[in-house]
Amino acid sequence: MADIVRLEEIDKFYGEKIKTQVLFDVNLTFEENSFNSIIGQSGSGKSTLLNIVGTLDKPTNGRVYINDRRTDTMNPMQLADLRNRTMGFIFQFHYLLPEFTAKENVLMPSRIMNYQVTTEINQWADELMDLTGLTKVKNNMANAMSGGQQQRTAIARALINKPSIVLADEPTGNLDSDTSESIYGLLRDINKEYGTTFIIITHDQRIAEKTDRIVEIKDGRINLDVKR
Amino acid sequence: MRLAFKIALRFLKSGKGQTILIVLGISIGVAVQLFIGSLIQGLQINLVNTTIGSSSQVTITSTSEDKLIDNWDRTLYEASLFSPDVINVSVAADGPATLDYETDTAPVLIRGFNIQDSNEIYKIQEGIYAGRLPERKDEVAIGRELSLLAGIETGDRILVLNPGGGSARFDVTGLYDLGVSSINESWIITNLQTAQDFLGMGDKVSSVEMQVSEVFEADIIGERIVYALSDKSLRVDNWKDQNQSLLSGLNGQSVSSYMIQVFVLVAVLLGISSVLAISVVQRSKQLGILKAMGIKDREASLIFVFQGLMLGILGAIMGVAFGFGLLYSFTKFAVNPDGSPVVPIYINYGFIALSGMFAVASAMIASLIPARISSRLNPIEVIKNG
Repeated sequence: MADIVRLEEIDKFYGEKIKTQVLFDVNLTFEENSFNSIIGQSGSGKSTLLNIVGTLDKPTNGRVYINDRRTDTMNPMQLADLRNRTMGFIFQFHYLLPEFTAKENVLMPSRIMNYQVTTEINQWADELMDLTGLTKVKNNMANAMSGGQQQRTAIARALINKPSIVLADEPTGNLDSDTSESIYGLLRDINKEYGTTFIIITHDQRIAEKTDRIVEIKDGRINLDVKR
Repeated sequence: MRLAFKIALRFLKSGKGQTILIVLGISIGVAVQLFIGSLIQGLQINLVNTTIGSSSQVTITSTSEDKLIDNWDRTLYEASLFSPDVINVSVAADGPATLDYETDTAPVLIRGFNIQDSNEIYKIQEGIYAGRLPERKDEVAIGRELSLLAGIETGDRILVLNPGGGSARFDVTGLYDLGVSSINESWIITNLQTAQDFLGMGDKVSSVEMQVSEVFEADIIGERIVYALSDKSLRVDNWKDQNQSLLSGLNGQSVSSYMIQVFVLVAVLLGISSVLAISVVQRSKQLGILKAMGIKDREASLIFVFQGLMLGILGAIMGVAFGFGLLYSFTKFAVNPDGSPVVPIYINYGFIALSGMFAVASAMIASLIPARISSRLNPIEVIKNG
């Protein structure tokens, strides 16, 4: 299958005066419709790698391709547009806008793309909220929900623009194991139903084992890459 | 753009306490500005009115040997050409004389007018408190102070001596009070012909007097009149040249009023700017995630510009209301013993609109700093720091 993400010879340094290298000559690709996990100890560089894929961060050296388009040379406007149309983000913290209701939060990426919400998009938002079990709380303000509900709202938000890639950084890091299980089940279902590529950072071995591919990052290098 | 507006509105609504504080800050600024501005304007208009409102503002006199204007019909016509800048044009035949009354004499000034024309300038009719204006030849009106001094009533006949040694008797038809005691004790107002005959001027007059619609442009209008006059021996004076100290007082007042207004605005501007800058920091998580989701930097800054705009508009409206409240209470509570306000307030709608617009503009300018911070915010900073 075609590669949706391609990283070539990625180096990443942090710091101005004292430079710390976090990523060393990383070459990595992810296939379309795949369900991947990245594991590694904290400080291994896995989040940096994910942020570079997500165009939130730029590599010091190397090339990043999303859908065969090089992104590390794009300007902020192009990147914003690319992120909005092709990527969904799920972070460890939900980062919902507390000033808006759950549904308004879900619709936010769609409004960023196009302010008007069509009936179709509205239905899709309802469908997503149904899928994530949020129908009852969809008009609650974002901070008037439980932690699990908030994280599921963030997932629905990541999917509203039907992105081809979803990047998740410890999406269940703050949740209990039962809720985590059900959220992974949900992500897996979405992957199967809509063919969305998932790249998920996790430290939970059990969850990583359920993915199609496990990439382990150690000290800024790929230590292990297992496909099943 | 509409999303930025919606987000801005939500941000303002969710931080109600903060929003109310800023709006209050802006409105107090606007109210103070409005109040001080209107007060100073009222004060100046009042001052100008009492000082020069009932007197000649541009005066044409002659530099010829007898100091008299010969062909005054023409001069009158030439000055009238500047209507509507020039209003209330009138001629006067003036000359010193001595009033001889029972026990003593008093120096007086005979002022011969075309009464109806001069009435427009000096508001003589309004000042008449006994009798009526002189109409026929040898009829005069005298002022309150002079009538008290010489014990003259309406209907009396007075004896007046001219500098040449001649004398005449006039009938007093009215007593006036023009509000200025130096006028009240010296002017004997009569018609043009009486004065000309008494002073031996023939058909000449001593000055052409006029008022202008814009008192502060009296000097400019005066200069234009100079060019239009065919008789080059005439000279044109204006009240501004003759009242330099009043003018510099008024100017000083204006400048200090502007200074106060500017500093109030600057204080408001700094206040809004700092509160909005804090709100960018408070909302950095939201902005970070919005940017990660693809909101453009420009749109992200617009959120704060819209906040500034809304705060400015709200503050301006409330400020104008407060300002009116202040002005109203000032006219109600700062009053003279007779109940009239100490300073009559002059409501200038143009000034109010300008003041409001300045507030809105300041709020928008103030929002540029937070807008810039917001535009530069990198989502990675927020996401990394959790």
